[in-house]
Amino acid sequence: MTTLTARLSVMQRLRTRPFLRGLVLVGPAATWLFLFLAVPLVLVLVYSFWTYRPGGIMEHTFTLENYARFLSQPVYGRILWRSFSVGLQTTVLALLLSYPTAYYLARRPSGSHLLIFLILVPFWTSYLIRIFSWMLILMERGVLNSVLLGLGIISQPVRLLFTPLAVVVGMTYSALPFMILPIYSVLKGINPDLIQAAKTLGANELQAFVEVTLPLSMPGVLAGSVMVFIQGAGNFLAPAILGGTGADLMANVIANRFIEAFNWPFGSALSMVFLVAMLVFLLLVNKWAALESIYGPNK
Amino acid sequence: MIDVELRSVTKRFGPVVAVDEVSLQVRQGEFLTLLGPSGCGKTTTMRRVAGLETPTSGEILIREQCVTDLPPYQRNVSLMFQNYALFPHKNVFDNIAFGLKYRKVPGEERKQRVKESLALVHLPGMESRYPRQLSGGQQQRIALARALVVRPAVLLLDEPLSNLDLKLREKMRIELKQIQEQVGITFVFVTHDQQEALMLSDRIAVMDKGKLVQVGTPREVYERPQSRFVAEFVGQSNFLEGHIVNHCADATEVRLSSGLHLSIPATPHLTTGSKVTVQVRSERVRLFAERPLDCGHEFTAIVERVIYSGDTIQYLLQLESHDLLLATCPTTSAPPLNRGASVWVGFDSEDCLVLPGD
Amino acid sequence: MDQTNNVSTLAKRPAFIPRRSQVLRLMSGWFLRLVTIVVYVFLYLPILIVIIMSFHPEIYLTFPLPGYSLRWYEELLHDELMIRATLNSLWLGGLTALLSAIIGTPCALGLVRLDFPGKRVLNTFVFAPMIIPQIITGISLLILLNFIRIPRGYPYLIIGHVLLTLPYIVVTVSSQLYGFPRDLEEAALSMGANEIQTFFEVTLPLIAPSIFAGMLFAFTVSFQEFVATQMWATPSTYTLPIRIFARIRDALTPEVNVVGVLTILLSFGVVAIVQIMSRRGKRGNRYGI
Repeated sequence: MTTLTARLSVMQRLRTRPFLRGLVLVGPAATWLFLFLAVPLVLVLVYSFWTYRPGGIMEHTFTLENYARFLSQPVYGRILWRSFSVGLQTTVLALLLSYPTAYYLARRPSGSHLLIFLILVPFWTSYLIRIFSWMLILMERGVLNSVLLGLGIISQPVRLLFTPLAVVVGMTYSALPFMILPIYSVLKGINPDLIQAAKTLGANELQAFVEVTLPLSMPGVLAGSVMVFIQGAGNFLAPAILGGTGADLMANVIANRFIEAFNWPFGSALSMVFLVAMLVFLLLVNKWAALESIYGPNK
Repeated sequence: MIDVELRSVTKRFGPVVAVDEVSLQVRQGEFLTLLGPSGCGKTTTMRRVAGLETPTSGEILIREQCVTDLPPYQRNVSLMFQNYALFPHKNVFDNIAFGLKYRKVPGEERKQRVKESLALVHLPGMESRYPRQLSGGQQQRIALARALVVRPAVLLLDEPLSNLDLKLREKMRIELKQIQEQVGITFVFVTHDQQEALMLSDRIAVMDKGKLVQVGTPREVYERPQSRFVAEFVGQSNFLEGHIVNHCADATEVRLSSGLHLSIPATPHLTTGSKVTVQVRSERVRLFAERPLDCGHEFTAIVERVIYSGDTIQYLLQLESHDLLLATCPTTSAPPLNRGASVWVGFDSEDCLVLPGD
Repeated sequence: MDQTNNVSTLAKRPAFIPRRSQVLRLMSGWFLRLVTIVVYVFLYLPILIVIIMSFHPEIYLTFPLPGYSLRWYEELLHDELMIRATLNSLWLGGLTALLSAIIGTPCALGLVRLDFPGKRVLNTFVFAPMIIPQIITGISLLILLNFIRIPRGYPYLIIGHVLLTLPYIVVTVSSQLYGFPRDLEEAALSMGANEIQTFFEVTLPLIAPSIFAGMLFAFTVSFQEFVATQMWATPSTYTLPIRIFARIRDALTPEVNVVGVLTILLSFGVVAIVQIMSRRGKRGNRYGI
């Protein structure tokens, strides 16, 4: 018996060590993410403990004053609370509108391609433009006021823009595709035989829906809701464009610290607080409804 | 010359032992089938030979060269898959020439050999078609052409006919055997279809739960199964439990648990009192209207059930001793019987095979 | 007596479910259709308004339009700053799509086919840019690159945009990889092609559609990204969204409408291309099985 002289090439080594193979494939992405996402976040944490001197100078001395400032000045707490509250409002409103739509789309036996296409177009259109479009609608001489004036429903233009309402409307509008698509996708995947089985066993339409469809659609509802909530609470553009002076959310405040105030330590502290608050919120939601189910296919 | 040799080949997936110390030699030009139920390890064994599964232990030699640690592309093997695995983005010519390209066969010779292999599978002129334009049977033939054109030491076939409907499958079986004989390449064929194995093979290797249970010609495997598993898996048999009560010079007496006595060919190596299983093939059980005169064993029986299968009729018969026997009779032999009919059942001593009881 | 009891218990249902299930079915059908129509109208009204307003002849926008004009389309063609910003966004988007694909495709392969310690962690990090508020992604990268003394501008933009678009590539390629027939690769291996050759000859051509789709999505996301980008760009490297935001802030909006029309067209095109590709793929029964 003779052994074929196998070349101990790179290929050989890669083949017999799956760990190396994994490294080569996943390495670049993992490195990128580590260097430009993980490390920066750690750095943000570090910065949050450094001292800010007026004039845009930052000292590398440890201090807790940034966090103290967050706790002592109620305005920041209020803004954090407002961010979460607006996020929740947006989520609920979007859900109320999206679920029936997704349900209708999923029930259609065919021809929903065009309708899905029509949802995808706004989905991929610039968020900036979509928020901006509400400026055109809600401003004093905007579409809504002009229509209402023209119909004689009002005699004077109503102040709609630069209100908290405008922010919520704009955010809900932009959130719709993000809520409709996951719910649609999950509903579409529900085995229709299950509903038939429920009906033959005595449940009527509503009962079958409540007992079978609704629980099975929860992963989609959760996926959409989490996405919309995070987008809402962390939103920058809607308050910046549609909101008035009192409508700032955490994102605006943080951006302000970096762009205008150059108070990076405090901005970092705010970012940390915000991240932790969101994490805690998501963990609580996870306890209540297993978020594992919305994990993508790469399990 | 031995084309493929397996020495104590084992493959483990975590705690599961899929292939357990399989040793086997495949002769040059032989059509060997790995036969067994799903999960018996036949496909994994084949994939070990191909190099598609990493070795746990054991050696594989192809034409007397050890290939155990070599990747598939350094072994001289070809594969045929259940789902054909034709490259959808390449036409027929590029599919077939794929292996030739990587064996650095020059262009002109490549064209010639592709043409020859297409002729071999009776699909001349198909070079520019794409797989999606072909029927299932045609695709399978192209897959065969692709596997053969590289002149491998051995062609490994993984249940290649399972996706074809019955008529096409029967046709392809015959063609496959013809081509193999014509080309003379060693085939290792994996299937769970025992009929296919019997029809096509020069030798059959039966596997169960990762172990090689019996290797032999189709005749040997069918007529002299070495275990109950093989006897049950191949063909249809009756199994009668009992123990040995007496030894004679040329016969052994077995008393069944039902009380019935059978006289079977002598088994001097089994001691009196040992438990045995007597196997009688269902086609060896014959039916008579009156008591037969020339059978080793004759019993009266009542027909419990009739199963009509076109060319055969099967009768489930209950003897007086309450033993149940299955008899397979050709439809042409006699007019069919009805349930409840009373018949005489007979079979010879030579039709009885003793399997170790467990 | 017993029989009527049984019948009446069957008929006794909770109060909110009327016995006339036909009516219920009809009503729920209409309700669903109504909500759906409202939602679609709600979705497209602002888009239509942007399109309509882009033809407004005057700076001072009013509704209804006093006339129609292509004035702002023309102005945009001469607007140096806008053109430069558009070019910036275009080549940034292209580069981002390319880099993201190069890094993201092997990553998807690794995540789908291999099992290794830390896989869950990696998976979380890959999708993190989609979950973490963009402002935070923006400031964190800003802090890092500033800390190692790299000036703002292109490096930040490229690194950041690849970071933000990586999840899109990984998702699109992964989902096609999940159904990928492995026996095609095994056939190639057994015929003499090694792993790398098999990847380029068999795997890559067949996953190319999803890589392409992922690149289109990555381009679109990069082209329209604002919140994090504002942290990274300098005036000479301003992208289109940054210019637009500045215009909105300065209340000079007519050209913004025109740009809006262009991004709507971009989105329309991207979605159309991807939809057509996936329809053709499914109909052509790509794997011939």
